[in-house]
Amino acid sequence: MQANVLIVLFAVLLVILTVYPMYSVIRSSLTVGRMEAMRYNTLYHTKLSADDFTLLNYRELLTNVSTFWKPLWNSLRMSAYASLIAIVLGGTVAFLITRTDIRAKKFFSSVFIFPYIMPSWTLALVWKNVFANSRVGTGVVGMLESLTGICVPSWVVYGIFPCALVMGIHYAPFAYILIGGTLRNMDANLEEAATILQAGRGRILRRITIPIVMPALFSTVLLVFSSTMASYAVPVFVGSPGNFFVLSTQLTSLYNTMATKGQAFVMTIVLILFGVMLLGINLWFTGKRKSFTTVTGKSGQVSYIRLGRANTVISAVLAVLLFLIAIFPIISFALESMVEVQGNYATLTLKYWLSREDIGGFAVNAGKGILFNGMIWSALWGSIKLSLIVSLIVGTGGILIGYAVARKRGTRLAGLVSGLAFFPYLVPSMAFGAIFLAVSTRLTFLRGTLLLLVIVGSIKYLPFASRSGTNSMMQLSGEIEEAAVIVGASWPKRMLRILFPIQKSSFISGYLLPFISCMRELSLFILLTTSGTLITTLLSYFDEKAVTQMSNGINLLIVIIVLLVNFTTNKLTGASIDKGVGGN
Amino acid sequence: MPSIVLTHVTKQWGKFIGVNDLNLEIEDGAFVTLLGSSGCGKTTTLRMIAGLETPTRGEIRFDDKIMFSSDKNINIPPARREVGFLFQNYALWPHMTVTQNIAFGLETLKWKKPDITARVKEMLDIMRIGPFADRYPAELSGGQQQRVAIARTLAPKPRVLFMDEPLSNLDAKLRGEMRTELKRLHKDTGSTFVYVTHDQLEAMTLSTRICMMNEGVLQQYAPPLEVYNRPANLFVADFVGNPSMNLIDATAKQTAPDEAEISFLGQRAVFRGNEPFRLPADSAVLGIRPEFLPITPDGGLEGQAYSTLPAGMETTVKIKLGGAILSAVVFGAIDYETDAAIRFSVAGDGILLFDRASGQRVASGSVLLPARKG
Amino acid sequence: MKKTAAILVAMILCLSLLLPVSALAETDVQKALADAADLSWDDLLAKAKAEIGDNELMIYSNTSRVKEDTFTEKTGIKIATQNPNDSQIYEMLEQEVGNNVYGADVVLLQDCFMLTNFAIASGWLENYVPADYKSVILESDQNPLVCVYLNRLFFYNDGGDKQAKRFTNVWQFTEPEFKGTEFKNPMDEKSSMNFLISLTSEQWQAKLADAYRSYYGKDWAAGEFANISYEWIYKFLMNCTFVSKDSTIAADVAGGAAGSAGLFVFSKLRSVDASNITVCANDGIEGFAGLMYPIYGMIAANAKYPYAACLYLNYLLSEEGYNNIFGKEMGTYSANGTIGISENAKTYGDQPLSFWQDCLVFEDAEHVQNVYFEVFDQIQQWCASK
Repeated sequence: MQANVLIVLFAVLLVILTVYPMYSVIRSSLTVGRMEAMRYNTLYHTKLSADDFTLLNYRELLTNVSTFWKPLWNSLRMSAYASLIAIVLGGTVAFLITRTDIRAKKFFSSVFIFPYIMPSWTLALVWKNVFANSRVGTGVVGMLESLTGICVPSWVVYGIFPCALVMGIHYAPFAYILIGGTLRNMDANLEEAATILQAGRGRILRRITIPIVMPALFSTVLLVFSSTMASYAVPVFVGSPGNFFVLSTQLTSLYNTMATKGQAFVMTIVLILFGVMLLGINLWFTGKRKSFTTVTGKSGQVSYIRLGRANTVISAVLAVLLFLIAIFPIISFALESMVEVQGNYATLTLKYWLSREDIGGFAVNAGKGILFNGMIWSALWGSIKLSLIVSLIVGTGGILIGYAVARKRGTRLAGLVSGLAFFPYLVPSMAFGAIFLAVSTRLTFLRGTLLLLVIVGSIKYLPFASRSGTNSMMQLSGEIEEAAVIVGASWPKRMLRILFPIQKSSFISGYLLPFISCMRELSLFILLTTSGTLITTLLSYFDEKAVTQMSNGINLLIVIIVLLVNFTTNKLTGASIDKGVGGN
Repeated sequence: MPSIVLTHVTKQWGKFIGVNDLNLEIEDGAFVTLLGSSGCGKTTTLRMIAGLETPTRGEIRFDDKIMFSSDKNINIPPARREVGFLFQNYALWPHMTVTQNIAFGLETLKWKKPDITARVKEMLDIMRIGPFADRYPAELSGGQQQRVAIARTLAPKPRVLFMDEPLSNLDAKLRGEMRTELKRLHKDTGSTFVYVTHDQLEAMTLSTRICMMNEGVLQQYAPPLEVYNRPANLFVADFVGNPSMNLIDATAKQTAPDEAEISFLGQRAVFRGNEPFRLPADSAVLGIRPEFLPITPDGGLEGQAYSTLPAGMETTVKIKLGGAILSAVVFGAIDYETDAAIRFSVAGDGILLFDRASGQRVASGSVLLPARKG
Repeated sequence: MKKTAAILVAMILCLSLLLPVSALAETDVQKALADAADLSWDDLLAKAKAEIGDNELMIYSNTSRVKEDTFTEKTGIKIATQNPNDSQIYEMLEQEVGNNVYGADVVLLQDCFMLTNFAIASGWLENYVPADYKSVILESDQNPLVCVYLNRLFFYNDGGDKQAKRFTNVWQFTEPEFKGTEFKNPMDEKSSMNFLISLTSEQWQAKLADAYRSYYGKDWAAGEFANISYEWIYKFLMNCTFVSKDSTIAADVAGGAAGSAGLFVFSKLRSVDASNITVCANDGIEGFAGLMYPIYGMIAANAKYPYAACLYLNYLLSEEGYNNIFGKEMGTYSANGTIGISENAKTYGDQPLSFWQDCLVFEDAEHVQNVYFEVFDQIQQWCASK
């Protein structure tokens, strides 16, 4: 009953909230702006004027090999590799933690999500700092060379390899959370049954475990693939120097040039189509007759696979890996915020943190040290406030959508809601922000308000939560809820007392993931708010002023806050992003 | 094929002892039931034998082949123990059809394609699930899922088959049917069955031997009728049998090597053992199966009808006597007015005497009531 | 209940009354600007204060430097800023001024082509030249009004040898021997794009031809390329490495091997160890030593506080304002010809604007206007096929 109401409600809400952006995108791809008209008129002697209908945007873009087809091919390859890396890395760690007796689970589990908490470019930066060497680019000597003398070839430093790898590592926590959640909830008997039938480890993994975690795998691919397709910072940072150009970098270029903006919207539609295709595959898969109800209420007796002598080795390898991708970047942020000259640790100073007076020097009007800087604290508070509200709305929405979709699985409406909830993810942040800027010029009461930011953020991040909500609801068998219906528990009570506690951990990630993303989002909000309202707008200020110490310090602060929120949530609710997976 | 031998097998989780120093020998072709209430260690024992759980100490052998030994640091993985395992919740793979589920084990064993097809067909027929061959588990009822699970387990023709409460999720009627089938399967396959259950009736009716466990400790390991007739201790006596055995506090005083004077519920009587026995103390418990309390007009005891439970074929009569309520079973249907006087006696030589302190059975024999006055 | 409804209705009515008022504001702004055209700082200040009161003056700027609050200290007028990138500013103007919704008062932005053909042509921005500085700003910088010039220069790592003179001719950057000069992708950086387009003017074709002759010892001849600028641009684009941020380029050159080179904004030198960095311009490189582009200061056609906006532009062009906001940095030059470069900047080898006039490619609004789309498309193709 409630599921019916909810699914209709969300269908209506999502249609309203996503159809307008969708309409804007399509309309912009089919019309010309003033500058585009000017360009086409100059180059093709057309007689277009602003807002005229045309198919030229499509013709221009789709016939251009170097600005479209080549970058598209690169994007597809990069995203496929990144998904693969995320799944292999995240899946392996999830498997090690849920199914084996590996050491220090708690530690590994909580640290493994760091790469997602940190902005993706920080990993790219670390990559470059480690592998740059005297034979690549300008010959800056990286850590590897200075420690071992090894010079890796250029393709390791720049190009598709580091792009895919960095994106893969950045999104591996997704895979870890989603796959690990399923693995943990999966009845161990399913694997044991195969063991008894004399299937080897590999065969069990291939024939039993992987097919059963397939929905989670698909969700992961969906998120990682689309995120990587849309990612801009990493390809620009370690891709472009290696002459590796992808759709998102081309899209940004086209978008930022008014005269080619329409083509950027055509590209957006291409990105959306790929997302829709993936989503279709996903739906087709979960809608099939196979039921993936894995939580039966009875937790099978889990016996951990004994790693034996390999335990120490595997634990050590994992520890080193995690140090490199999770801890090292944080340390380097901390260090870089405390040196006068980048990379020169002889110039250590705490003034960028502790100065109670204006820092002065060339850091013109940077203000006081980070800890005493009112500007920074008020922006930080702004970001936290926004992120909290957004995550509360989005997290709850995600659970409800998940509930409705799971209960109405296989119906047309469920497919619609699940698809629409994912749609905002596929529209690049820049374009999304611009669309809502346009909305705010019509609904002027929204202009410059927190409400506008909340609305935009909520819609943009709904996909995270609706994915994790749907995933975990799919795993809960209907009987669990029915048991509560029988004893006359009201619907809110069932949600709060039965369903939520059982899948608490994965729901909590539905709250925390949007929080994290919102904390470090810039391009989505930059058109909609004044600088200094959010910490990221301030970050770009210090970036531009080349006060790298401050921007590194602020980055560190963001990471610390997210970790603190994660930690507090963990203490208060007993759930955390990673805890959905294991480690206890 | 193998007899399975467990020596000093112990499983500990931290301070909690799941199975304590278990010694057990399961003969080839036996149908052994591990019986006990939940948490008694029976499932753990089964999983240890199958290799799904690692014992903390002890040794497990299949014939002369050591499967596990804490001393010799041997632990053969479950896959190489060549056993079958039927899980309580069936553990059917949701992403495979019935056919695929059954064929999986055969493919693993690298059977030839035609052989697999033939065997799957055979299993489908035996288990009468042919019509569902192409369905997914989610599309089957509980009973059908159960049959698929059995088919999957039996397909590779395992010589040893482990079953973990396989019937507990079925309704009573289906459970009855499946029991019959299991017993036949046991005969037909000639395999060794090790079966975990908390249902004493299942244990009684199916097995060739019952392994009764409580709190991780083996209570009695004997054929069902022996467990029924000569339970090793009060726990076993109480657990097995429905309605359960009347356990009556008594004082006993040994008067001869095979005789004791007993007093219970205000009655005095003589207990004559079938063999000589030795009472360790005066404080004892008298164990009388309900069928050994025949209701006869000239019975030596008189009580009041507390309640009557006719089940058609037989009737359980609850009789109040000296503050206790005793169960008696009579063949056929009788109904007594509540509180009506009932005369009954204690018959046969299957009456048990337990030492109250240790709970151990001391003797079995007959109870001689003094002649009826008047 | 009825009362609240009544209040709501009243509020909606008031709002709908307010909207047409702001529609009339366009002419108000023009009137105010005409009035302000002859006003000096003090008169302007009085009118601005009366106009804005305790409200905030809204500034859109592609540089976040204007976030400084010295203007508020001096005038008591509060400011708020928003710092999107250039194209985002144009987007905001289109959405806001285009729909007559108030957004900004002052707009600081770059890209002569977009400014003229998009924002000014659409009537979204008004020009204003502070009366106090009319005489010291070049005629050519007055409409649209240039506030400051910024440059991007060729730098290289001299490995400690200040006499290295590694780059003496701009054609070196096109040679495989000097591969890997780091450069911001013109597709993402409008000043890079306008620089390359400006380079195709006859003036720079001639300079490139001279440099070509002196480097290769022969005259340039048309062949594969329509003109010499195209040849330089194509070969340079193929030879350079695209790096996304100025600070990264600066760090790469500073920390790189001797001889590595890059084109980046002067001010980034101070965040790196600059001891091994030489400015090509100081080696007297033939051809050109980098580029120079203006930041324009305009007033939104639907500004709420036009006098305060004028006052802010006045402040930006004053010596005090310039020094507070840009002054300490190298690589920025006020359009106010009376303001020189700071002592700090000199220590890094900065020179006054006049010095750069000859050796940098200035954004050439007139030429860019003529050939924009043609050259743009060519560069876009080359960049993408790198």
